[in-house]
Amino acid sequence: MNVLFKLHRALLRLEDAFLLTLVAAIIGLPVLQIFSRLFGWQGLLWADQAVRLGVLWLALTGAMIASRHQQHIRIDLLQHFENTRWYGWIQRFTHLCTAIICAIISWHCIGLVRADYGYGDRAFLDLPLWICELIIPLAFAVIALRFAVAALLGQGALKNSPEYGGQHE
Amino acid sequence: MIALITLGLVILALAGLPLFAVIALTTLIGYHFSDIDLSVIGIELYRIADTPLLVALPLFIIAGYVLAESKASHRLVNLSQALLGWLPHGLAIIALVSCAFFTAFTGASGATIVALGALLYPALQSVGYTQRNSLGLVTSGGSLGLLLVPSLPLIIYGVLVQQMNMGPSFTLNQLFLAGILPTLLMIVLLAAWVMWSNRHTKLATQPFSAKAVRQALWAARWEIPLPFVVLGGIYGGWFAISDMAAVTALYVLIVEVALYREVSLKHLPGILEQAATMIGSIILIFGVSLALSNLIIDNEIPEKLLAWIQLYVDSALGFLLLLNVALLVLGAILDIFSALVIVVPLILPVALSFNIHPVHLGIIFLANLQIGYLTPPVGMNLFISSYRFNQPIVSVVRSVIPYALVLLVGLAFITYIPWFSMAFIGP
Repeated sequence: MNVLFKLHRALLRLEDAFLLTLVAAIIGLPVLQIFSRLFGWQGLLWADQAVRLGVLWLALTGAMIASRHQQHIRIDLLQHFENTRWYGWIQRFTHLCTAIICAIISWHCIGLVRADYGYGDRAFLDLPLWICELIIPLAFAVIALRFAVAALLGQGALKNSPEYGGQHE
Repeated sequence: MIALITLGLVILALAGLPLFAVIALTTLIGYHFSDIDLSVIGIELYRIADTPLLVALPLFIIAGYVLAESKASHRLVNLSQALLGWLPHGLAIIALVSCAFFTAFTGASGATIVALGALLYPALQSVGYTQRNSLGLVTSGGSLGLLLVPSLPLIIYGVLVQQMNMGPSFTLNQLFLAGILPTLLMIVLLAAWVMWSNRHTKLATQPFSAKAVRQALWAARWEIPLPFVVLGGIYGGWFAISDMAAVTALYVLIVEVALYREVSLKHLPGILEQAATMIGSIILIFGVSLALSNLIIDNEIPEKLLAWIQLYVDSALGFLLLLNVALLVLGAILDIFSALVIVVPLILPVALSFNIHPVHLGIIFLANLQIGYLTPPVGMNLFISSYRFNQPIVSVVRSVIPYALVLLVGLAFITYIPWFSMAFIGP
């Protein structure tokens, strides 16, 4: 259990570090480009594409992080009944549905990545396209996993656990 | 069959299934019935990386979260009070104008009420406005600014419509220009209402002091350039919008972390994580809705909707009235981003066939959804206000009613007189 706990914490840290790297990249690269234009340098030809890809990766990493506490945008008609028992069960049910939907998407996106691996298409800097796409199945798998855990344990269990980073709000 | 599936989706959405999952599920079901391979959703999601204009969105969200975390709101209120505090009703006008600016810069995330409202609510009462009046003013003011750059819903609308590639073309800059007059109109109407409803109230004013102005200017010296850089950069066309957003994010980070030192390096990762949560939620919804909107268009649903609407409505005026009512209802249930990504692909083709310019349509959409922030059951500002100021939700709703009605009058002007949106754009 202790090993799993440490592994989980390490993965959370990795996720955070990855996020910070992406943020630095999508701020840094455009600014670098502006300066190169200012000084008449050629700049990096691949920077625009890299930043756009960075936005995709940042967004999906953000979506993974949002699912740590199931903070995705939803219609909150029932939130006034938050402390009732049946609300908890409805929530577990919707978490389970979310997990299943994300698992289906992840599964089919793995198929897409494998197909593109086979075609050998290239993105910028000769980077294989399938590597650029990798975040999509990965993110949906992680989101599915987190919602599945929330469906099994109930949200309260995760909200208060410090090893899950606690609640930020 | 379709009715049953739709009903199921609506029930799931109302039960609290995250909206990205609702939209994704709708898309997957649609693919299944149209014999499209489900992996196409991955191709559609990858289009996020092919949308240059989308780059601005995360950058402005980051800048907004960092700004909201600093004491920028204090300096903004101090400065405007030093400049306008001597005017009768000066503080109410300050409240409205600074709310509009702050909302535009921090996105539509409720930060305005939390950061600015906390300063303005007690200040308004201390100069003599009633508690109810102050509450209503701050709560409704918190939704102003949606139509001003760099507000996130405005950017989302622009990107969404440009993706669809329909109707008269326009640039994002034109859309940003279009929001200026409608915002001014709403501020003027709200200010007029405050003055009229408080015409018998005795209000305290503070004498004008050049020293206070100098002090406030000096305190805000690093932030004052920000609106000029952003607005000048975008309206003046010096930079591309995404470059502008990167410069803004970097500038805000340097100013708040290194110069004012109000956001510590230790807290920065946590703030960025919150920003990323917001970025992820919004762009994920945007991504799955790209897939859904293609499906909607392929299945000619807008045409069917148009045919159905034409059974009842045959003029642009009638259509706009119907649109207003529908958006007010939707705005009361859905949050602004989901309402945009779900409804725009359906309505844009219909609106075009009634000869409504996409820029004007966007302004109508956002002005409408802005009022949705103030209408129960899901009006976000009501809850934030109730929570922040420790007031029962019923009294917040009661305090907001006159302001919401004034905004409705503004909405009517904006909807039925296209000039407000199109004045700077030409025919």
